Amino acid sequence: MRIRHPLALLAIIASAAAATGCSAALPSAAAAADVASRFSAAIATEDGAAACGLLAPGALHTVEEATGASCPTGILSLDLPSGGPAVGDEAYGRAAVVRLENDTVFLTIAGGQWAVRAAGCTPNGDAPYDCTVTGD
Amino acid sequence: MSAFQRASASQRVRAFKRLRAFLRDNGLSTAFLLLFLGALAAQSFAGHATFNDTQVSDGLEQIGYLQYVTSSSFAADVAENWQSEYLQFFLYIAVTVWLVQRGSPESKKPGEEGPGSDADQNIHASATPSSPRWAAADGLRQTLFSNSLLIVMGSIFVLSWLAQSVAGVVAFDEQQLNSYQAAVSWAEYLIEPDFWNRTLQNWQSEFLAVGSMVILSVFLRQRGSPESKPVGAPHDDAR
Repeated sequence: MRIRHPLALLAIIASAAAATGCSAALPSAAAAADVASRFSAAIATEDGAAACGLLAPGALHTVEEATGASCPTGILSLDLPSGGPAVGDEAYGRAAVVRLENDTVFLTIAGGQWAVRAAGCTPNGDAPYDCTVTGD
Repeated sequence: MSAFQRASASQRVRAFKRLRAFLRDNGLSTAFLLLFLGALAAQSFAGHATFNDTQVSDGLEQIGYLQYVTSSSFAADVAENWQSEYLQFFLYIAVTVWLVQRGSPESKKPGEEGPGSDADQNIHASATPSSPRWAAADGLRQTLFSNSLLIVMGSIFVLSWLAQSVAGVVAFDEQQLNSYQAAVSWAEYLIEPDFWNRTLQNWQSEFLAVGSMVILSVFLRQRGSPESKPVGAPHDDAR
């Protein structure tokens, strides 16, 4: 194809730039809300194995290190709140935050799907949230 | 050798000559297009490595190259430099209409400030047979064509800056959430230090480079470059 006009070249460059700005398919914010709700339900029903199955690797390691127990046992000893249903969700790139009725949960993408990185989080002004479980 | 083979050989020779002539006539644009693509590719590899370094230090999963080059982080990094470069040329094209620098080959001579007469610009009745058609036109077409360089450079600047802000707020919010902090809206991001730090660190360098070129080209020379006065030209001679 012969480009007959400089503006055509500019249009091609602009299209490439627009494509560059579009992220590759990532899980949605609604999917993050679903994971956070399932995590909250697992805590409420004291199903430690199910809750740990939804944790990001870093968070799982932190739970085991902090409690000195396996994750399914340790996570139930942390007195995480029963978060309740999701009331708000936001996702940006590979990070998401889900506001539950009684908790705020931060998530990251691990293995192609959302995983809980921090839970039991309360706002702390402009500073980072105070969280019972964190992934680092 | 068959007639077909002879024809193909002569066609190949003609094509090679056409290509060589094209590259000679378009050497500057071709060289800078290749430099641009090479630098953009290199930036993507370096940026990917930097992004993954941060992911590891935050205890997060590393991402693949394709995921990085389609991420908001990469788009913001690219757009923030594009907008500043196009702003640089947009401003320089506009400002040099009205301001001069005595002795600089980048400037008109003192006394020549302003848009110039129709005769100077070969427009309206002063258009020549080889002038672009819109130079001879009246009204909107002539006004648009008379300012087309500024309009296009300015439009690319605005769109790049917009792209920087849109991609930048997503990249910023991703970092915020990774630090267990609240996300901000696009409007809030426009008054965030991150947005203005990204913007102004590019602007100051562009303004310094342009100002340096204006002044240094008064006193320094590069033999053979149209960006310089002839080596023997006096310092206060604009051309």
